[in-house]
Amino acid sequence: MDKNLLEQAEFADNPEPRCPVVLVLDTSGSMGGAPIQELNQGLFEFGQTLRQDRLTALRVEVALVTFGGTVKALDVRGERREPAPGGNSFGLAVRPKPKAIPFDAHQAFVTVDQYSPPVLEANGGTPMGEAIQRALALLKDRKEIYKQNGLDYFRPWIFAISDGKPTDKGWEAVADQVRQEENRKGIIFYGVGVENADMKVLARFSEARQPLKLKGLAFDNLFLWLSKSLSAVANSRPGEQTPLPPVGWGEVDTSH
Amino acid sequence: MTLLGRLFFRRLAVPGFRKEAAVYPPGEDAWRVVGAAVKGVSHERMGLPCQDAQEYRVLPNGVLLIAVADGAGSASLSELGARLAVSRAMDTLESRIKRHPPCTGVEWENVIRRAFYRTFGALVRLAEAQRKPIREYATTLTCVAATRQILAVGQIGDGAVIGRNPAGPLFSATRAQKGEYANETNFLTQVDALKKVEVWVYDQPVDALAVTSDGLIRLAIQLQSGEPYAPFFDPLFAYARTARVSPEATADLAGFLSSERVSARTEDDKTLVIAVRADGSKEIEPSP
Repeated sequence: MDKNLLEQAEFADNPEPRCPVVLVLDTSGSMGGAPIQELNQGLFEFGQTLRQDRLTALRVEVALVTFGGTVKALDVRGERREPAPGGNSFGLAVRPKPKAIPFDAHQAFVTVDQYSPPVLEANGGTPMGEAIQRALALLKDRKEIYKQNGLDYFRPWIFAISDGKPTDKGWEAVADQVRQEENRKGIIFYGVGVENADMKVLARFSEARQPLKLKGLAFDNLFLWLSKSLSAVANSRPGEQTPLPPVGWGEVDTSH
Repeated sequence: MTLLGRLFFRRLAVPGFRKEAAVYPPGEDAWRVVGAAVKGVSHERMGLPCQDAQEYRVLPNGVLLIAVADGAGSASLSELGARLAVSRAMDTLESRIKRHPPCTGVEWENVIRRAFYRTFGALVRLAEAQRKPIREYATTLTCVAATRQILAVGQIGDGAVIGRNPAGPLFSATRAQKGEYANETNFLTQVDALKKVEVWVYDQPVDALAVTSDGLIRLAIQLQSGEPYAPFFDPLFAYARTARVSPEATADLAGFLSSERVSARTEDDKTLVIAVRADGSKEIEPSP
């Protein structure tokens, strides 16, 4: 019986399955001041937390769409960084300026090991409908790319945060699209309202779950939760309805 | 023995059966088999039990039977489901194949399907007895029977069976059932389970065989092409060839499956049964 033979077994090199998420963030004028600062800090810590788990860092893919005046896809691609199981501090890294890129599913998504969020600035109106429509289209295209390349993938997420109500026409039609897409299990939609957000509007985007109201400006807790949830999904196994961590950062708004 | 019993015995002892039982080498010598199921790192972390199960038997007539089941991570009693599935499937296959080894491909398919049918029934009864929803026992199931003439495989879910023809390369004997998303597959506990069971009968014998749960798939299969990764299997088959059925062999394999090297690549429970036809046993072909 030669045990050494077992040590000689080599492993196939397969690409990891992907778990795509689009962050759709409100950068309208009303987010100015403390909210946008807290949001920026949360975005930064989001990457740090996700990188703590090796498989998560290779599986979760992030794209960023902002709406403040105009809708933009922002470049979140930084240097590839080794996942840091010890929780290395990346705090000294230079934070890039926002750079708009085309709405192209090839460019917009990066795996977490390359994720580097820009510092967002707040101004302009709230074209939320258009932004979420862009997110839907990006995810649809991304799925196609996975299929073409034979990559396995998890159900994509749209995570939308807003502090107001849409200023663009036609957001209702987008909300209908999102609901349909979620009902046929094409995506998972989370809506989060900040401060004076119109929760009724966010509620129209999902039948599956109610939008949550952020407690104060607890963006750090929100993104901590999001990273843990994505990590749980990205490590889930067949048949799993992944239990997500409890939501400590938000509450169901019952005022409407 | 009563007269009735005697008559019954006569009926069973049909000439073909007696000849076959006498001609084949004793089961123990026909195959070298080693198998283990170990808990994944994520199960360790979340305090879950090992939800995989495996069993193998070599019948006196030299037929090798293997069953592997992978309990769903989301189901609270899936380790029970997986264990029941492998033992019930094995019992059903053994009792049928020991008495009347099937001859044609259609007969083999029926025998395999019947094992899934019986196992499905056993899961339903277990859930009823314990007054729990059957989905809490959700498990996949892969069953294999290998003789000197054929390889018969049945599967629901995303396990894998890798065979090696005496003269050929490795081949995948199953196709993993997957939904659109990476964490979706079929389970023997779903309503339409028996319709989802797929059976393959190959009229070529194999001289080496591996059965695994999906926890090892990313290491063992080239997913883009679906081809088995030979540098993974060749050393394992070589190992099995040197191994006797023994607690040491099982411990070695379990040690390999829980090694740092493997755990760095997969967080899931990992199950592997490897079997190699033993040489040295008299290679007697059954008379035509």
